[in-house]
Amino acid sequence: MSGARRVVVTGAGPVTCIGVGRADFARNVLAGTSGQRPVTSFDTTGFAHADACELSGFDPAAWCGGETPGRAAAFAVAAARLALADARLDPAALARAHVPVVVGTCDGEAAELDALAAASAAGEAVGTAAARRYAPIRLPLTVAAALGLREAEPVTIGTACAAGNYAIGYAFDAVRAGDAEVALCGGAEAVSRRMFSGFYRVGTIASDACRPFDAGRSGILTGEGAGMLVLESLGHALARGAPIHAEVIGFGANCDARHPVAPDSDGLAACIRLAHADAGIGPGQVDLISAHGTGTPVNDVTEVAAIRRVFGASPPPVISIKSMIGHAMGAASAIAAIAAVDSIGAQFIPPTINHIATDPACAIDCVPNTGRPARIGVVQNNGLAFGGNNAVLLLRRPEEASWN
Amino acid sequence: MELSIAATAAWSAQGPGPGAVARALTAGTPPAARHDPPSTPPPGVLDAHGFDLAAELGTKGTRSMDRATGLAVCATARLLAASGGDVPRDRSAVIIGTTNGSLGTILDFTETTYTAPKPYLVNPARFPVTVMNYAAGQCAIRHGVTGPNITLAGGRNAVALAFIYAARLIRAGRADDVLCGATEEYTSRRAWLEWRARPPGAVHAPVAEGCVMFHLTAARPGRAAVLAVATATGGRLAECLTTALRRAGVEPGEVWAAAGNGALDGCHDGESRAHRAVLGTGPRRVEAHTAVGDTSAASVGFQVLALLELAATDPAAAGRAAVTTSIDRHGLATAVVLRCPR
Repeated sequence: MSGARRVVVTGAGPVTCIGVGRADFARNVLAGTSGQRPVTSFDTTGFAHADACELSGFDPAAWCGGETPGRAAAFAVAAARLALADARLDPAALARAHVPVVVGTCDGEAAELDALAAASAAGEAVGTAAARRYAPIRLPLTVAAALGLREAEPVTIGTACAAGNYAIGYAFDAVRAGDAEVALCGGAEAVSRRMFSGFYRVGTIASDACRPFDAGRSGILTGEGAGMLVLESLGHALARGAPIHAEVIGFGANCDARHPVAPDSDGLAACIRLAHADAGIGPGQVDLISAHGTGTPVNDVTEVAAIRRVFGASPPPVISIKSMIGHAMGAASAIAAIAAVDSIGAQFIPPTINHIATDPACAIDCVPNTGRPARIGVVQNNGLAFGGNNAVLLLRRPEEASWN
Repeated sequence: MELSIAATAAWSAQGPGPGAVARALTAGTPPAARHDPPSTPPPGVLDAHGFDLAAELGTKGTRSMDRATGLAVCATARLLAASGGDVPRDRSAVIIGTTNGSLGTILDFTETTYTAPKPYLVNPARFPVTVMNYAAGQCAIRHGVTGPNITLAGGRNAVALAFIYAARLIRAGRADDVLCGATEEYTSRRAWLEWRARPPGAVHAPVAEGCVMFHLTAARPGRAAVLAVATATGGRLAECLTTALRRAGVEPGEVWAAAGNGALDGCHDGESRAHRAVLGTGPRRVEAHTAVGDTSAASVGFQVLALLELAATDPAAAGRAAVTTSIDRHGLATAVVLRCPR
């Protein structure tokens, strides 16, 4: 794109079951900490197994002044505050700036919707407040209000489990084209009885642990949390002496247009190529792939097949942080993007934990169980979703770039 | 950000025909709401007139489909036909605006987890329909559209936000054509939630279903165009409209007509004041919801459609600008500036 600005990541705010804030999350994601624990946020009576990756002890009131919003919005507010602090940006300095606030989510205020269904099952009436609270447009609006971002451009992207990458792609395009100097983007999700029951019914909730790429993998663990990033034009970041954690160099999004739930390796391979073309790189320049890696039999085989189609017989390491934090749905790829930023910063590959034996049908180096140091110049972050959606993001180590 | 509007398609309480919304507005007779208590809330509801999902799309693979998705798939088919059928599907994006997907399906599905003998005895075929992006995915699958595929949970302002997104996708080279709009269905669940969420002072409009789709491209001379969109939080509608006009390079005196939906969320007076303050009293005033009801996420889409359809029969509109504003119950306002074709 001619006249395009370069876009950098200057702040990241992870709110996850293995760490809230960059330092805490980075330490645990690089160490391979598991966030798996028994579900507490809804009644699991009647399920044979019910582990998930919940945030225990998260206090919305500590992050949100005034009226406490829904769980997903509270996660988003916490993540946005952490991201701005990490970027050394005072929200007050952005009060008059046009700031896209872009939140990806699969199910919006899923816990609020669960509560509406529970009330209905119990024959209870729904009040005005409950009838308003679930609206997903409130995710960015709550972030903007909490941070005093008066000129926010609020966007809620509901592209299911690829929504986080989509949100980052949206902000990337806005900053790259010069519509904004700074954008806040990422994803937020709360665990819900609905998603748990749905995945349980179709046999994709892991019975013991989430084991991406393992021969014995049996599915996902549902997860929650938020990941918000500060994207900034390079010029703006340099002018204020901002910390530059990574450069966003490319994004690609497409739709298989084949199956409502099953992924397609042709479609994903095409999407990876779109992202590479957007960045002007070839597959040989990618040092690490942070996979969608859900740990279901079909996802991992399809995803690795697509990777092999693009990268040939020897792809770079392919890891899945879902082994640690479960599947945070609309927040998943945004949190994974933060893990990618942390990998770049530490020059260290996070492991894929719970690994016993790699499935020959998706044989890759998933960096089993223990992370390792590596030279990481470019990370590719994959996000897939129901509806045949694919979204791929490319992040580059700032030291690899020349700012001139 | 100028975008051309190459084609439109819709299905509302006025049926699917081109010009139906404008004819209803011109005639001034509101459609008769359906009252079916206790399924329907007091103002009644409006179904998409004559829309029979199975008749339109067949029974194969549609048994679990929600009506919002059915309407979107059907409107997209009509949109592609209206564009001549030669839209390159691999260079086309889909953007579907919504409030929260199929609320009826979501709540029915979840309620089953409380009422079934085992909590997981839900209908697996309905599971993907509970996910907000089901409609956008089905539009892509049934029409072979392989570009970016976006679900925009924008609520009342969804279509204005979708226009911003469409412009960015085209400018970034991610798509040449964007099939963009919003869809909402009648379910008792949605109707009651919408009714209960209404602020005091909101007009007593029927909760309505409807879908409206636009085929957007990079600017091409002679066509209807989206010139600019602006957003504002905190209910600042006048400021939002002023910003949109400035971005469009349009003087208030050039505005032929102004549409708004403030009445639906109890902001009728504030909206009137904002329009008067920015535009004066010259522009023709249009309230699309009087013809199609409260279509939630499709509201702005029907406002744009109404303006375009009215412009086609009003000689005063030729080559002039039209604006449409929107404000939701959370204080988010948007304004869209259009150029009517000559």
